[in-house]
Order: sequence, then structure tokens, then C-alpha cells
Amino acid sequence: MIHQSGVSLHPGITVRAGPGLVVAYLLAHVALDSMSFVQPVLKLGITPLSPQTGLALAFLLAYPRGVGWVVLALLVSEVVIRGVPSPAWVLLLHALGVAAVYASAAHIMQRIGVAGIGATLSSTLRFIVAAAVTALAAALVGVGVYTAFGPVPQSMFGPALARYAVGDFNGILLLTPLLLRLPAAGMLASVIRQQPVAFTGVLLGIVGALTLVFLIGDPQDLRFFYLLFIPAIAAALTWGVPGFLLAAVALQAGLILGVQRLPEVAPLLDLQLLMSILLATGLALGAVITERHDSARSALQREIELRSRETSLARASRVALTGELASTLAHELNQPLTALVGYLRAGEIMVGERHGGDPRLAPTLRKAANEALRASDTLRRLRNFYAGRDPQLEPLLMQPLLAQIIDTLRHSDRVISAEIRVTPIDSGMTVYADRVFVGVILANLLTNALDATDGRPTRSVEIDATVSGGLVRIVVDDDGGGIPSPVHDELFKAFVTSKPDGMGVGLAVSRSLAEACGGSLTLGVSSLGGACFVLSLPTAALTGDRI
Amino acid sequence: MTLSVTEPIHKVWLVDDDAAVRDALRLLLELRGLVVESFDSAEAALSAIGVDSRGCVLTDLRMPQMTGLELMFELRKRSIALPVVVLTAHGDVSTTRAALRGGAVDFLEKPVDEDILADVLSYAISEDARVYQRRLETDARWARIGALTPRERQVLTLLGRGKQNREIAVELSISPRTVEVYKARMMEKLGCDTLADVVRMSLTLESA
Repeated sequence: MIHQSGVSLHPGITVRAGPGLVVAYLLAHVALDSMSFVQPVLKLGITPLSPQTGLALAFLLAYPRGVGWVVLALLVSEVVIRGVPSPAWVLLLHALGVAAVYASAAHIMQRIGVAGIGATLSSTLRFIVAAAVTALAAALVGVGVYTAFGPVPQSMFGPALARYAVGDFNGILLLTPLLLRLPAAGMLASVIRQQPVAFTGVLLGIVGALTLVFLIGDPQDLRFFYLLFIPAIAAALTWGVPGFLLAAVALQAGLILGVQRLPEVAPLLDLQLLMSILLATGLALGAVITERHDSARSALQREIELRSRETSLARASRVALTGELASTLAHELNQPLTALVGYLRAGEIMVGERHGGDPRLAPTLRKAANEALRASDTLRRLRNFYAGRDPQLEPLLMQPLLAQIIDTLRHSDRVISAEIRVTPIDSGMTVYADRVFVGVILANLLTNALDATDGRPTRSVEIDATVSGGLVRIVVDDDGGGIPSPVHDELFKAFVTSKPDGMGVGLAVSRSLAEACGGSLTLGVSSLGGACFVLSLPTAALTGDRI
Repeated sequence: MTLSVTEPIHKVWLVDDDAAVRDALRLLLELRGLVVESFDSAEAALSAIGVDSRGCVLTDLRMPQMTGLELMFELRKRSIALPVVVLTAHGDVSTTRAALRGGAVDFLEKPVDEDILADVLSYAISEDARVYQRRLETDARWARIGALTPRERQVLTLLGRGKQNREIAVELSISPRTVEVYKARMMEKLGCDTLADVVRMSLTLESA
């Protein structure tokens, strides 16, 4: 939820800026610049906070061709907010130089992959470093222009540079990730609504810390500033990067307000330097939290996926099993019913030949035979109902299919100590069969193998697949107890089992399913000393009818 | 043309692994006047059925070792043309198709209506008798043809191709009178009264 980035703002994918976006950008740029025009150097736009830089960078990341608009925004800001403090060409030169730095920075950020700003620690750290370099470069260019051609004296170069760089750095850290991850921040709002206590706590923390910094502590003394870390870090820990950014915006607004409204506070630059540290720390910490949340969530998703795969396999297995059960039951009961009908009809004929006796005997025998026929008919309907579906034959790649089945089984706890080895098979090996049927057969064979090896000191199950003569032979071998020879002949018959709690339908079902796919399931010779089964499936579509 | 045939016994060769089904069907069929010989497996039936066996086979489809279909194919492999009726508890389409394509006379589902069963079996038995009769006739014809001299056989062949006595005489470089003599002797040996009978006999020769 926190992780999802905006579709259009995904770095690397750029958007077409419509006039609405451009106008919104220009207005926001001027507004942000105006709001943060605090303690400037010589009434120039050199302030310890430049949120408009963060906006410009986000704009350029989303819309790399918008450099011209950034230049315009820089010029308009100067004129609207500060009048014309230096010659127009100097302003233009400044705007051009700084915009060029921002554009290059946006380009480089795209290249080094900041797609995961706020989502992964590594890309967040890369972003922080890139932001620092960008801020420094922009400060060098911007202050350089003003010093060389404009109003800034040589002696002021150092302090102006620091102020400019810190302002840009904070602006970028504060606003660029927030804007790029606006949808995530939007979603956060609903998350926060569900946690009113934590939200109130963080809010109170921010207000309380700001009060301490500005009202209770010595305004010149910044030792209380560190209290601001508490709510900021609490937000980062609770809601990851978006949560931290929202808290940081609130903090920053509080700082600006405090500096503007209260007399004799510490210079904003000092506050902003501390703010830089807070921003960098919070972003990195938030990224760690977000990353952890994401990986926990994807693990959960994987878990859910596995579970549903498991249940769908179990369901398919149960359906196949019921079908085989119904079919076997129908067959086994139909035999005595056939005999019964035969005897009754024979009896009827015999009675008919003989005269005397009760005249109701023949019709009674006929009725009894009809009842037997009715029972048989019910069985037939039962069998047809559970006959299962026709196989849906399609080409299936063996390698991923096997991997998926083993993965599903690994997930169930019976595999914990067993070793399943799959002989490397050709990645292009394909069978032409029903996906669910093959899944049920292999899961059944592997489950049998795992059950057979259960409780033994070494447990190993080997799977091998080879192609020969239009058939893929999949061999499942284990080092378990093997099949007792009395059972050999009847192994694939229903209700024959060597397991104490088994019903003896698994292999019968598996063989029926294999045959439905045009394949076969036979007992092989184990090389591990246990039981070995060979599943053969056609590699390609069978043409014509098969017998 | 008459052929005297000693009638062999037409039997229903019943194969089913289920003792009760076997017993009941046997009883039922015997009550209907059929002669039944029953076996508990396809293998046992195969050891008893030979080329001279008459009647028809009534077999269950699903049996532990050899199935009813396999029995049918094995009989064909041994050139035993006995009609086969397949009886099954599982009437699925693909096996039915395979059975019918393999030459089964019919495919019945258990429990079977004994009227239908009796009909199917008597049809199968009469079909077998018909085929057997035809085979006997062919055999008899061959026996008679075997008694012909080479010259008589040549005359038979040429007559069968629609040649006149004179043409035969030219082809065999003999006189038309001699042809007449051969023809008379040949017809007597074959027991033919008309030219149509001669042509039918020659067809047997041609088909070889």
C-alpha cells in the first residue's frame, strides 16, 4: 500500500506535461518560494530552505523536457517575490544555470535508478547522495553567478553558498520523494485515519517539540532541536517514508513559522543544517521500514498464493478421487446386481414352465429383478455424475510444472527433513497433457514417496525425466520401504493399499488420469531401494483416436 | 448344387471373472436353449477355443489379467473368426468404439436385458454359421477344383472369362470337339449343371 508508486511518476517513465500540469507547477513554484523566503542573503532568493527546488526536480523527473518551464518559474519567482534585485540578464543567467543543474540532476537520477525512492534503502541512499551533489552544484552555479556578475560581494560567497546548498538539499529531500510518491502519500492518509492514536501522538509530538525548541528552551540554544527527531522518527517507524515525509513537512512548516514570528531565535541556517540531518536520517530509516513492510507483505502474498495453489490441487485431487471411487463402486456393485438380475429372470422362466404353485411367484420375481435393475441404474447415474471432466490437453513445460509441485509440497510440513532431488531436465521438455491431472498425479506420487520415507534416518526422493519415442518418462524414486510384493499385481486397483490409514485410491486415480491424457503409470525398478513409479506422457498431441 | 455339412455344436463361449455373473448368465442362456461353456478368464477361454469352435464369444471387458478386448484381438491373431459380444459394467464411449472397430458384434452394458442378450447372441451365432457355411462351400469347391486335370482347369478358367468353345479351342490349340469333351468332364467333376455354376466355380479359382 505504501509501496505503490504513481503510474505516471515512475522514474524512467516520463509523462507528457499538459498545460494544467505546467500551470500548477508554475503556481506551486512561486508559492513555495514565497512561503520559504525567510532570512535571505541580500534579499536574493538565497534562503536556508528552497522547497521549490524539490518541486522543480520532481517536475523534471516526471517531465524531462520541462527545463524551459523551470527557467520561467525561477524568473517569475524572482520578479514576483523580490522585485528585480539585480539586472535582468543576471537573473536570466542565474535561472538558466540553475535550471541546467536541475535538469542534469534529474537526468542522472533517472540513470542511476531512483525508481525506488522511499521504497528501498539502496535507492533512497543513492537519492540522498544525488540530492547533496545537486544542491552543492546548484549553489556553486547560483551563488557563482550572483558573485561574479551581481550583488553578492566576494566575502559573502561562503555563507551564501552554505545557505543556498542547505536550502536546496532540504527542499529536494523534503518535496521530491513526496511528490514522486504522491499516490502512496495519498493512500497513507487512509492508513493514518485507521490509526488515530498513533497519528495524534505524532502530531502532539511535533507540536510539543516545536514548543520546546522555540518557547521553553533558550531560542539561541539549539539543544532542544533533537527533540524534533522523536515524532519524526516515530512517524518513519510507523508509516515508513510517506509518513515520515508528512511529519517532516509539518516540522519544516513549524520551523519557518517559528523563525518568522518569534524574535531572537537561532539563525534559520543552523536550524536547517540540523533539519538536513533529520531529513536524511528519517528518509533512510523510513526506507528501511517500508522495505521491510513490503517484503513482509510480498511474503504474505506468496504464502496466500501457495495456500490457494495447495487447496486447488487438493480439490482437483479430491474430485478425481471421488470419480474413481464412484466408478469402482459402481463396477463392484454392478457385478452382483447383474448376477442377481440373471438369477431372478432365470427363476421366472423356471416358474413359468411349471404349473401349479402360487401364481404370484413369477410376477414377484419379475418385480425383484426390476428393483435390482433400478439399483444398477442409480449406480450408473452416480458414476456419470462423478465421472469427472474430460482432460484438457495442452502443451506443458515440465521444468516449471515440477518446480511448482515441489514448491507446493515443500510448503506442507511433511517435506521438512526429506531431500527431493530433481535431475536437471531440458528446459524445453514439454508434455501434452492436462495441467491439473498431471499435477494431481505427481503430487500423489511425491506424497507417497515422502510418506514412505517418513521416519527413516535418511530421506531422499529423486525425480528424473527423459524423452524417448514421443513419450516423456517421469521417474519418481524413493529410498523408503518399497512395495511389498504381494501387493504388486493389484497395486493400481482401487482399495488396495499398504498404508495403515490409506484408502488405496491414489494410485488407481493417478493411473486413470494418466490414461485419460494418453499416457500410463507403471511400477519401475527403484535404484534407491524403495518404490519407483514411471509416469509416461505423450510429448505432442496424439493424432486420431487412441485405443 | 448341394453340400452335406455335419453340424458342429453352436456354443456361447462365456468369459467372466465374476463367478456369480458367470453362473447366472449360464443358467439364463441355457434356459433359453443355448449351449454355454464358461471360463473365469480370457486365458482359460483361449486354451479351449480353436479354429473349429462354433458359436460366439460373450466376454466381460474388465478382468484382472487379459481384458475382453485383448481376448478379441488374440482370437483374431489366431485366425479364429468367432463373433465376439462384449459385456461390461463400464460402458464408456472410447472402449466401445475400440471394441466395435476391432470387430466386436455388439457391446452390452451390465446388467443386460436377457431378451436383447438372447437376440444379440442368436444373431452372432447365425452370423458365425453363415460364415462357416460359406467357408465350407469354398473348401468343397476347392476340393473339386483340385480333382480337375490341368486341361480341364484351363477350360474352366477360359469359360469363366466368357470365351466361346471355338475361341478356347484356338487358344489351347485343340479341336472344338475336344474342348466339348473337357468341358463335359469338368462339369461332371465339379457337379455343375449350368454355365452359371461353372462361372461361379471359376470365380473361386480367380479369387485365389
